[in-house]
Amino acid sequence: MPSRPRLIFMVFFLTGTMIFVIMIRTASTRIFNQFRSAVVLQERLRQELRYQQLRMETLISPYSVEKERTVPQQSQ
Amino acid sequence: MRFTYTILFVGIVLTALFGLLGWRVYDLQGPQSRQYRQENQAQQSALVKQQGQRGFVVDCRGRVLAASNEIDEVFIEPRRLAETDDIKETSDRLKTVLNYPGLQICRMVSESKNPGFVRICSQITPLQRQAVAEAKIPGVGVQTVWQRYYPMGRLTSHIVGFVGTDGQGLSGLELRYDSALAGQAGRQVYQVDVLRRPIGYRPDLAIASTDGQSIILTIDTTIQQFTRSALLKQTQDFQAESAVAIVMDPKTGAIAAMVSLPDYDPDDFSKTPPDNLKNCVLADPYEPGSIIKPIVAAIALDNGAVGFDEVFDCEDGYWGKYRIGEFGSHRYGLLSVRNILVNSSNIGMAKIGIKLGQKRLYEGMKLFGFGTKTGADLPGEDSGLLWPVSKWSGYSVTRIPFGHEVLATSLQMIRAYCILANGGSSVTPHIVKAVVDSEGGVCRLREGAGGTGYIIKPEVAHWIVQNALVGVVNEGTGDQAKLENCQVWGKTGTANIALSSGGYDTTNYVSSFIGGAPAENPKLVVLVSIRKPKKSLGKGYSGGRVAAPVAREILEKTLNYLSQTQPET
Repeated sequence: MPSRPRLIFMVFFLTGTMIFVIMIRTASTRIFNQFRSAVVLQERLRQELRYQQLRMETLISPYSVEKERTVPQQSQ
Repeated sequence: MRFTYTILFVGIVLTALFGLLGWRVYDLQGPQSRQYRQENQAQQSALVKQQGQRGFVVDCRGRVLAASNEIDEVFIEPRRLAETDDIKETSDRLKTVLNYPGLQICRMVSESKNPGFVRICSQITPLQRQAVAEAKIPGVGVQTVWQRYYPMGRLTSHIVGFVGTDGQGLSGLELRYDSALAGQAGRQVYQVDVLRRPIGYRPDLAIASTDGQSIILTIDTTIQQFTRSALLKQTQDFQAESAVAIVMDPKTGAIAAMVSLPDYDPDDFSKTPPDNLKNCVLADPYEPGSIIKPIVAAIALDNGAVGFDEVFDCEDGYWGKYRIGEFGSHRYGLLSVRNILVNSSNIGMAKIGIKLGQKRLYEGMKLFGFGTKTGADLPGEDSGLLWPVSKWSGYSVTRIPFGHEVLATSLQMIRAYCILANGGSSVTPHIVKAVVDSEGGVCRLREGAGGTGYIIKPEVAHWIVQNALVGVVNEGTGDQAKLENCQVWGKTGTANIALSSGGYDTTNYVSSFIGGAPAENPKLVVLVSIRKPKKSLGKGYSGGRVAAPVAREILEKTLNYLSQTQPET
């Protein structure tokens, strides 16, 4: 192969490789961000679930039930 | 010639330069490589500390008494708001985002002594969090922290205790089991770009956090609620200063309920008077009064110092030699051991004490656990006070048998009655049934069996419970503890309060009842002790009037509840 086309081929090949690497890096970062967002969302949902469970525990505790039972009687 | 020198000079300069370059390369790759690698890693990565979740505290039926959850809170870094205008502007912007009074934010920032952190608002909603993040207000941040919740509130406050702002246990089981509950911190490492945005995860550098162990208690919150509501009502009705109640399984020493009034809200303990934070069950020893009589009688019978049918002359109400009178100015003549207990005769007990003798009385009291801690798994337990015989006066042997000159905690008293109830066997009161890890594996388990040896003979223990103490309820001062369908046994006590200056308070008393049911095979032992019921109300102040009805209510509801939840096979 003559030297000029070989040079052009090399330049195109290297440029293409660089663009491909950048694309892969960008995709990797994007997917990582999506993954982290999903993990954070999952954590938030778990947090909310725990909060609701604790609220329910408070509402059904014998202490609250007794309080609810006696307050209307006192107000009558 | 000149050219040769030039070449030589250039050659030397180049060699020197390459030599320096080589040295620098060696220096970078060798001695300094470690430092540069660390700096490079610090620039490229971000460390996020992660605290493991603090363990749960649950009752014997799995109901949550304490648990942790993550919350988001908004904070301000005051040092980044140097000017007053900056604080105003930040407060205005934050006010809009959080819907929180701007003036209050200004005040919190300007009054803060910490230049690095002022907590503005805890437990914000996810929408508020997003709004704060999007607003990008300088000096304002959001952090996620663990928050401790106590769903049972005041009901179990003295048992569970509370944690401080740093998440460290400060009282109750939170303090006693702090190291087990706390877990271990870990860290996550992220690769970051030039703007410190995460672009990758470094699992090789991460250290996983470990969640704390959880505690399963012997407490049943339903029984705890029965106990607290009955005790609270009576304390209010008699305008008493404080009160305690305990429900215990006499065979195992497992505590099913433990109430100390006044109590406090664990979510708001900082505003509670310090006296209310004290668990009186463990930390408030008192002269027990008449409730100690069955213990001394049992020691005397077990030692053979007195016989079951032996009769004592109760001096018609006053024994001048030892200056002892009867409670309520009662006058008794000849009484058997049983009737001494049924009528709660001080003179009869003093005579039993003399027949028993100092040494055997002291040793017996020691065996029943007086003067030493019970070993219960709660912090702050007092050992009470039982003076050694060498410090006793000539009167001591006549005073201790009716509950003077000895200090005992409520836990020591109920433990002693459990020994009577289970046939004379030793028990250790305990409140923790098991400790489990975050995966549910059992780390520590307390086996059910209680006693390891006999303190008194079973026949003596059975006689005291089934004969004498049943008599107290059926014929004596404990009639208000009587139940229709179940034979209750027990002993009342109306103890004088010893003054620190010497002598006794003649107007205030500790009114107590300890007993159990059913008499033939006691499932429960209940102690109720109410301090300083108001005598001037005219409703009575004795243990039989004040404490026995509370014990009856607790026993009735608890036995009914247990028959529903644990039907006998």
